[in-house]
Amino acid sequence: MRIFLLLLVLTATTGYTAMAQRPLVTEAKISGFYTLSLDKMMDTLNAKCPVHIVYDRDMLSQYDVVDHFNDENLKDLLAAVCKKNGLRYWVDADQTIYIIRIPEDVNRLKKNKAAIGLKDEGRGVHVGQTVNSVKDVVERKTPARQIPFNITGRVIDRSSGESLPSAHVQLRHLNISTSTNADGYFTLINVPADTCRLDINFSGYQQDTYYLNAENIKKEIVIGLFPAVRALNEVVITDKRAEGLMSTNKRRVSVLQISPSKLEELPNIGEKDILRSFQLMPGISASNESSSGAYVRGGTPDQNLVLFDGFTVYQVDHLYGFFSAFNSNAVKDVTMYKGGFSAKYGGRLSSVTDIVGKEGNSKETNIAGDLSLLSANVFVEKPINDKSTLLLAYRRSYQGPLYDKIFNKFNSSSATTAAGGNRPANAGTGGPPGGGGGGFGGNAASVSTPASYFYDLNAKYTYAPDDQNRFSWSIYQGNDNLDNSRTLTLPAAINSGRDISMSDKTTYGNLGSSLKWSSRWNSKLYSNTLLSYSTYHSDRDNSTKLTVQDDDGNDQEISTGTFEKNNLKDFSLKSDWEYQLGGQFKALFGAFGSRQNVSYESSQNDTSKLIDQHTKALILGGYGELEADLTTQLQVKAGLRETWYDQTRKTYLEPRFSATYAVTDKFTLKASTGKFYQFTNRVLREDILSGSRDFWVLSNGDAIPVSAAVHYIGGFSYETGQFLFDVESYYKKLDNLSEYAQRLTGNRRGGTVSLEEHFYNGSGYAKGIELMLQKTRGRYTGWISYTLAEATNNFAAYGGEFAASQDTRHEFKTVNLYHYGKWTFSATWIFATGKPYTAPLTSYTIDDYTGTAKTFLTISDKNALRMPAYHRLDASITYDLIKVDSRKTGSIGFSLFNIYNRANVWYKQYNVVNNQVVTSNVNYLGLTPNLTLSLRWK
Amino acid sequence: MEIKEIYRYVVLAGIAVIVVTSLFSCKKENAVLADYTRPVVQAYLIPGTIVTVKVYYQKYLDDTISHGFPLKALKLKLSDGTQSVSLTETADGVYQYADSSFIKDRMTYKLSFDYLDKTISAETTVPDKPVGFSASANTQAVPVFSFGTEPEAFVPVVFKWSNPDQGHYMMVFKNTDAYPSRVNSRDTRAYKDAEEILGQVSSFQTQQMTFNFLGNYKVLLFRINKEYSDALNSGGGTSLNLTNPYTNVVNGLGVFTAMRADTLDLKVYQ
Repeated sequence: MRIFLLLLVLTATTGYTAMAQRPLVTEAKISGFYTLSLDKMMDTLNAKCPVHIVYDRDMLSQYDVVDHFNDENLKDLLAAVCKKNGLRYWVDADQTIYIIRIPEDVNRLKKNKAAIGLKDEGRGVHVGQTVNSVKDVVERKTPARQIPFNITGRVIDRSSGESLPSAHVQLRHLNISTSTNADGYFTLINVPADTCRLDINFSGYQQDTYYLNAENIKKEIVIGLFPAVRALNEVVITDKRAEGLMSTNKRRVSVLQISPSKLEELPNIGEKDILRSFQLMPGISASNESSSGAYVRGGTPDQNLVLFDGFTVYQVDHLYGFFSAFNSNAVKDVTMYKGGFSAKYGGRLSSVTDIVGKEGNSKETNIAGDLSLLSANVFVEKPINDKSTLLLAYRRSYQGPLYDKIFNKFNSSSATTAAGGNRPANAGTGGPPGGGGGGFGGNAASVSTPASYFYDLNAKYTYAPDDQNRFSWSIYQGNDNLDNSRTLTLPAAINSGRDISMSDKTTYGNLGSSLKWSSRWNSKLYSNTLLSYSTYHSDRDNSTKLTVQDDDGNDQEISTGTFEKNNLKDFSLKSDWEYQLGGQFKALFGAFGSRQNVSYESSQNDTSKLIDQHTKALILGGYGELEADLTTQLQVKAGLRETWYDQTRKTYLEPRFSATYAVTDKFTLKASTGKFYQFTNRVLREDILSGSRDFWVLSNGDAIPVSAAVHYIGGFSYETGQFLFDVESYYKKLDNLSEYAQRLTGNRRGGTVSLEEHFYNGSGYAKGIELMLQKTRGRYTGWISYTLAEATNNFAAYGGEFAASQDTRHEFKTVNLYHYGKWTFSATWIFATGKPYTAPLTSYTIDDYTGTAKTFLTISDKNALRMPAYHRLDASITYDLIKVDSRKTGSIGFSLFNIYNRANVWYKQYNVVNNQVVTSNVNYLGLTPNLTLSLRWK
Repeated sequence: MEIKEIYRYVVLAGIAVIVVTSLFSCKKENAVLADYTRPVVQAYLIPGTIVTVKVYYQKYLDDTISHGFPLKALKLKLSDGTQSVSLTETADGVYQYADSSFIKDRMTYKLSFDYLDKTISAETTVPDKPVGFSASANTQAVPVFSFGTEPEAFVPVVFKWSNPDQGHYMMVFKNTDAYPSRVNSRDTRAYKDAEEILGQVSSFQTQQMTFNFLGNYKVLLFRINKEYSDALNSGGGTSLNLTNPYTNVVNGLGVFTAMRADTLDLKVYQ
């Protein structure tokens, strides 16, 4: 029955108007009494029904059919016969039905079919001695049109109706191609004939071919793609917009794309992680376990612009950075621009990560869920009516073994170092904030600890009143609640039995929402207008709360400790326009305005505010970009972005340029350059254990200048059927970088504490080369990448040039995936040069005037030493749950992180114990297993 | 893929690597390693007292000794600009000049000595004596603390002085009794003078925890140089981003500074 339903869905799907060219014939019925082998049965079906069934005669001849059919629906018959014999069937994009035992059979049958060619004109096809093939061309009633014309269309997911952005559409054998826009629309100009074929590629989906004819070119073409079945050997991540022999888009420089649906094949720690998967690609550092943020080409995570459905997300990770803040179930497409990006994007120095959320299934309600050792994840999509859809996704961690392991990694070490933040190297005296209360002796004090968790929620409502307009409202909320507080209940004799509560609580997160209106004014003009609101907050409360009675016998609460609050509000309006000027030119232009409000407060003992900053800034600007196919081989994009920033009252001009040149079909040269400015910076605190780790500030043109970068990128790619070899080198010049330091001065006992802030400014550069060899097809896929890089900063305050903290000289990564039937095996190995660090070299002790000995450390040059090399091996096994008609309904995955339990050093810690400086390494995660179960209702 | 093609990839990759490695020309790693040879200097010059300069070695990180080993047999010279005197080593690493009248108000002193081909030097100026030092009371009551009762309120003594030129100050509480009695009998810590570096202020208010011992106190208000609080209050030393401590000793470490005090009496009782 379920199969029947599925087939019905398929029928419904294909009944979609614009796909009328390739109907799935499902109304066929069959009657009669049959006793024959299965291959003969298929021959009969091929003969009697208007369907194309492809099968392997050797395989099917083993089975027999003995049954009586009375007006039996073909779909039911097929399902019943397959189920009975442990077979499956696969319906291809052209509605050919393949009878298979394992998913790999589809490819084999297809290959054989292609090898046999189009010699025979019969309808049925089997792979054996006689072969009848599908007609590869659609019959035409009218003669081919010869005047060049334009076509418009839309690429969608065939089963859910979800539009597919950035899919690559190309005219076969012609160098005319385009990519779909954010709503899946595309326009092809100067199509020479209506006999052409379109090749459509989108990563994570099967490549499809669409045949133009005199009829379908007159209206909007809707092309539905099928999600790739793993066995069809699609690659997980591609360095281009789409893979495939004939239809690669070589025309973008430094672009990476990910298909969230394929993420589960990679080894993971607890979650399918979008941002972490990018870390397996060249140019993006992989040795930062404590940050899901992207260190792209010697940049820092705050130099990476993260957009979710158009709005900027300021907090991109959960749980101290171990997990990215995006639920992969709610994400349709992620594109990362590693540098030299388009004038459409700005405000960041290094890179852009553009995440497009799913709209939700427009055809049927679906529910899916994941359960891992870290979190539970529920996802619902529902068509509200024929014009609108709704999507909801919610994920929440639970305090299982994995969560605790990571949480404790942070908090057990903070017990010994928390006190080190403000006093010179006496961290050994640390302890819980507030000092524990050793003076209370052996009294029975009870301690309770609360729960910590993170969650995120995605909701999206899409409304398409007509073909021209689409409205969508998207909400994203993610929060972390990290609590290491303790409540000490004292015996009645002390302080009248009241509680002392010690808070050590960090909460941070985002709330973002956008209202998008996209409109296709005509086949050439498209606009996308977005009103968005995004907030970020981070609160840190590290204090002791004590209730005492005052003279009048009233309870009074006294809080001592430190409190920090960082808030950012971003209210933006932007409008992006695309205009197709003709076959060779496309213009992109737009305007944007954004109001940002950032505050940072740091206070001591709930009374004195040490830092209290509030900055409001207004950013206004516009951009224009021209994409031109100057020859069939040369494509250039030139753009200009202009931004006015009210804090400095200056206008910033950012020219951008990129070009690709196809030397041959296989060999493409590419280059890009551009200037980039950044107005909002995230500054890192010196000591991640003594307070919030980082916070956002706005440039003020004074202590925090507007930082600037220039990128120069050059490279080439060379590809064959199964392999892609890609090389890119870059040089980035960075100016007006800021580093931040806080110093507590004064004496706590005297009550005259003041917090000094220091912003150090300097410049820097990053350079490197990335090499990647990728195998894109076959049972075995994967890649090897090597990056040679250098990131150098130059700050006068640190005595000139030094290696930037994120500098990694060599990075080698290999990703291996092997598909066998419903099984996928994957293994990744990462090697990276250790990060630079600054360390104490010697110590010395002097007495102050009254004779108290004070010990100091002498410190090496900034970042003069290196951590040991980082390397680790991860592996995973995934088993797909697949239905008779080859649709995937879920998977079970087991993964092992850091298999040989390498102790990779996160940072070093120095404590003075009995005059001795004890150095200890704080390591990243050791061997960590994880189990994930994913299920979809449909 | 054919062997030939693989070979082509390898060659391409090889060429690319060579080209780029040449871009990353051999740059010397400028890791300045430990300079253990810098001596550590400690000296507080006060008019009317004899000059004492202590010189130590630095310690290795895993040393367990409390102070560095004394640096012996040095020839220390102290000059006030017109007169230069030599210090004598009275104990290992302790160099003194016995004439207590050598240090005078507002004079600038320069210390110098040679060690391992380097001249180590430091300079400091004696600050002005504090002006207008006064206290709101000459006695201080410390309330009795016991479990189960609400203690009486602590009434602080307020010290004031004039500080029109934003000078730096430090206050020292020195108990002058031969056998001072403890505020809390359970406290077993030995008596120590209490020192508070105050910064650029013109008043100080006592707190209950200022006093662990009862009896007669001398309250010394020092006008100090900024170098004292910079050297002894310097932060750094955090677990992740370390900074070098402040020193005013050229080619050395530690502090060489002068200070000037005024004194009041205070009686602390329970």
